This record gives sequence, C-alpha cells and structure tokens, in this order.
Amino acid sequence: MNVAILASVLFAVGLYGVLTRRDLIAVLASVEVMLGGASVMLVGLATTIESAAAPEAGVVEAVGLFIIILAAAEAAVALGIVMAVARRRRTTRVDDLTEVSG
Amino acid sequence: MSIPREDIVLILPIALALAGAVLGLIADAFHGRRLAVSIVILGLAAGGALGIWVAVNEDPRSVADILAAGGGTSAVGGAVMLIGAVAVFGGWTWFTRSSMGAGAAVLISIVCATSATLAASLDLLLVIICLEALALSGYALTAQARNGRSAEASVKYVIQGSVATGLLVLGFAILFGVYGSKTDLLEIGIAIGSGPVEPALAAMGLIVSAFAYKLGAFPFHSWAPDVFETAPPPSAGAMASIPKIAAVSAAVFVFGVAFGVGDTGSLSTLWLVLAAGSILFGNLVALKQTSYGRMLGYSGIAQVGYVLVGLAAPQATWTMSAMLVLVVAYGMAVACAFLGAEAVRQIRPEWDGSIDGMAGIGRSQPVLGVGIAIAMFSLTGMPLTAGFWGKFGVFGAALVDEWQWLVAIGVLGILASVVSFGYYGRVLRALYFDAEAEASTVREEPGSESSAEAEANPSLFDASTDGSSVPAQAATAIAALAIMALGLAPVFWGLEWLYELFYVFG
Repeated sequence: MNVAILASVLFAVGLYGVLTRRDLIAVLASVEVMLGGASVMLVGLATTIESAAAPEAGVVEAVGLFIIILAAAEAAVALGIVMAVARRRRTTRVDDLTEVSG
Repeated sequence: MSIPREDIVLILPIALALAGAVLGLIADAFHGRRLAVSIVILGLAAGGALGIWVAVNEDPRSVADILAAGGGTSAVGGAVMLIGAVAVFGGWTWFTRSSMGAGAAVLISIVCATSATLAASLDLLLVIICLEALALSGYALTAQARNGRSAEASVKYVIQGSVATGLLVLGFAILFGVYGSKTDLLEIGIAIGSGPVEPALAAMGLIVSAFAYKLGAFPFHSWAPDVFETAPPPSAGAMASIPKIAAVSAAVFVFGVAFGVGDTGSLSTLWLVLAAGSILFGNLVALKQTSYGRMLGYSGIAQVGYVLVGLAAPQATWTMSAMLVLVVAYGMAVACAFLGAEAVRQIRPEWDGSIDGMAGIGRSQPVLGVGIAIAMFSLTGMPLTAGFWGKFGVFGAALVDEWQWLVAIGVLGILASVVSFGYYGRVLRALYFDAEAEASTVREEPGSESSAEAEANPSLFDASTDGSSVPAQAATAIAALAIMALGLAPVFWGLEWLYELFYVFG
C-alpha cells in the first residue's frame, strides 16, 4: 500500500503545481510529475497486489512503457506549442494569455 | 494473435484512412499540396464507404480480441471518415493554399483513423492511446492558424488536456493494478463484478472526468469555445465532430457494456450531474454569444449534455444506439455548420467571425444558406432531420424511466432544445432577414490598426488562403444532404433500421 501513497502524493504535488504555477514551463513540468505519479501507481500496484490470476510475464512492463512513451509524446507536442506562444507573444506567463475569452 | 483472411476487410477501413495519411505526407514532400490533399480525401472517402458497407453487411464480431467490427462500431467508424473526407474537401482552398495545409489535412486523416479505432476498441490501453493521439492531433490542428490567438487557445487546450490525461492514466493504473493486470475491457468488467467495488468506483470517477474533458462537458469544457473560435473553420469542424463521436462511442462501450456490471448506481448519478450541468451551462452561455464559432462551441457543450443523459439511463441496446445516432447527427451538423463558415469566410474575406457578419448570406448564396439552415435545424432537433431521431431515443429512454431525477432531466433536455432555437435561430435570422453587414461588423483595414490588434482579429487567418468558396459550399451541401437523408430514412424504413445500423456490440 505504501507505493500507492507515494504515487498519490506525487500526483497531488503535480496537480497542485499545475493549478498554482504561473509559468507555462513550470506548469508542463508539474504535468510530468502527475504522469510520473500515475506510472508509479500503475507499476507499483500491479507488482505488489496479489491477485488470483497472475499476469502474463512482461505485461506490466509493457504497459508501463506505453505510459512513459505517452507522457514523452505529450511533452514533445506541448513544448512545441509553448515555443510557438513564446515566439508570438513574447511571454510564457499564464496570466498574460487572456486574449481569447468570452 | 493472427487475423483470419475474411476478417481483414473489417479493419481495412482504418487501414485505408491511415494509408491516405502516409501517402499524403509523402506526396506533400515530393509533389505538392494539391496531390497530397487529394490523396487524403480519397483515402478517407474509400475508408468511410467501406466502413458503412461493413456495418451493413458483416455480423458484429471482434478482430483479434482487441477491435470490435461490424454493426455500430463500423458505422461510427465509417461516419467519422466520411465526415473527415467532407471536411477536408470543404477546406480545399485553405488546405491547398496555407503553407501547413497538407500537414493539417494529414492530421485530420489521422484523427479519423484514430477515432474509428477508438470507437471499435475493446482494450482499455488502446482506448487511452487513441484518446491521447486524438488530443495531440487536436493541439496541433488548433495551433495551425499560426497567429497569437490560436497559439493561446492551443496552449490552454494542452494544459487542460494534460491534466485530463493524468486523471485517465491514474484511473487506468488503479484498474490495472487492483484487478489482476488486465487491459481487456470485458475482462476488467468481470473482475470488477467479482472483486472489491470501491477502487473501481474511484478509478471510474477519474476516467469519467477524463472522458468529460475530451467530450467538452461542463465543468471540463473551457477549452472548447476557444478552440472552435480560433482554429481555421475546416479544422474546427473536424475537431468539433470527429473526436466527440469517437469518445461517445468509446464511453458507451466502456461504461455501458464493459463496466455496466456490479453496483455502478453512483456512476449514473455522476453522469446525471454532468449532463444537467452541461445542458444548463451550455445553453445559457450560448445564448449571449456574438461569435459564430464560440456559439457553436458553447452549444456543443449543451449537445454533449443531451448525449450524457443517455449514459445516465439504463443501458438498453436501444438507448446505446440512440446515443450513437445523436452524436453522429451532431457531428454531421456541426461539421456542416463550420464548413458553411469556411464558405462565408471565402465569400466575405473581411468577415470578423460574428453571427451578425453573416447577414444576407442566405439571400445572396441560396445553396450555402439552405445548407447552414439545415445544420441549425438538425442541431435544434427539428423533426425530419438527423438530430431529431437521436434526441427522440435518448430523451424517450429518460422519460419512461422510474428514476424521477432522470425523468426530470429528460424534460430539462426537451425544454433546453426549445431554448436552443434562440441562438440557432439567430443564425437563420442573420442569414435571411438581416440587412447586409454594416461597418461595425467589418474588420478595420490593416494599417489603420496596430499589428497586434490586426492579429487579434479572428478572421485574419492567412490572407494567402482566400480564394474560391466553391469547395466549401459544395461540402456544406453534401453534409446538409446527408443530414436530411439520415433524417428522412426512418420515415421510409422505420426507426429500427436506423438504430440497427448503430447497433452496439456487446
């Protein structure tokens, strides 16, 4: 159960960062912490909880890798878009991005 | 995991769309955008037609235990690819003239293939990968207008989307870890039925939130109006319809069929709250919008609310089919509405994106006017249009239920549909009864304004992409005809025929 607590704390810290940080890069870093927490939860629970039917060899590792790749793809696209914003608006502060609203 | 030869045809529609995407990319690198966009359209049209053929002619069954095919899943897959083909065709002028146009067309093709896969998915990991691929394509398509506003909308979309992905993966992690390291949806459902229910409810709460975000349901909606307002209209039309159809289809299978076992009563309450919030919020805010794109964005929140009423109701085959009909009808109508906007943008390059700025278009462009009008009628749920048959089934299922809150929300949905004519009807009034645009709705000449303000103007996508409005008008007409065909078909062949077409594999 300890691993679930660790994962929840990681996820909560990441979510707190997303909600409170005012710089886009810091927000993205917090998102990565959230996804890291989710990956820890996945691998941790799957390898510590005893279940009736044991998983096939390699399934947990494969699924864990999928999640890591997913986080990496997300980060790559997100950073590209933050670059586009930084170039056009000369800012990476969340508070300055208020033009589109209504 | 081998696939029998006679089952290849079941996955061929998705393969055709993907082949169109890959060949389109290659053609763009060597020959130019026109060939690339044509290949994408061909791939999508062929895939879509084959998908519908499979839906009508093949029995529902699974392919390699990971994809469902035949029946409703193939019909949804075919519908999204055909909508994608029409959207790319309608945006022909934009896609062939904008410097990133062919790339955007390829992205739409990938969105369609991913959506068809998502709608057919029987595996939770595949659902997550498809949702993520849809989100990543959506971010790029939003940023594609290449101005400060679309970049801003895109980055907001990215941040909210990343949080939703985090919730989704965390929910999946709990299901995967606690219920025996399974990814197959039906096996997870059985494991939940025989195991402890609390972790499953926590996990499903997280997954429901993520789905609500992808669908743009209240209170996870705030990306939708920004994206629809700032993205180029053909891309906005594709993004408003295709991923939503796929996400509803996946939600119907995940929550209706696979996890419908065991004590999930509290999940129905969650759907009910989301539905009520979306219907009330979407309709009330849409009423005061002046921008056409934002109005469609907020009304899309309300439309998702109508679909979620179906998820709160007991999952009879009839209800599930009705939800698919409703969301496919919504997708067709909203794509038609955005393609109409693209045509208006080509006819009036100075259009600022407002509803008032469309004044008189219906009289000067009869085909375009009728096309947009049919889309608005279908979105309202007018009888004899596609939108009516979906609302009929979903609200009908809610009204005959014993649970009084569900009956109440069915009534709320019907009242809200009447209210929604307030804003859809305003578009009709602008099209046919208002005088031509006055100076206030027309963009100021560049030069008299600072460049920052010129960039702030939504109509200012890229001057080089102005051109013929014929493809956009033709695509609007095709979409409008399809809406009418789907609306009139039950009159001749009975409502069972329509719902049978969207039969959900279970």
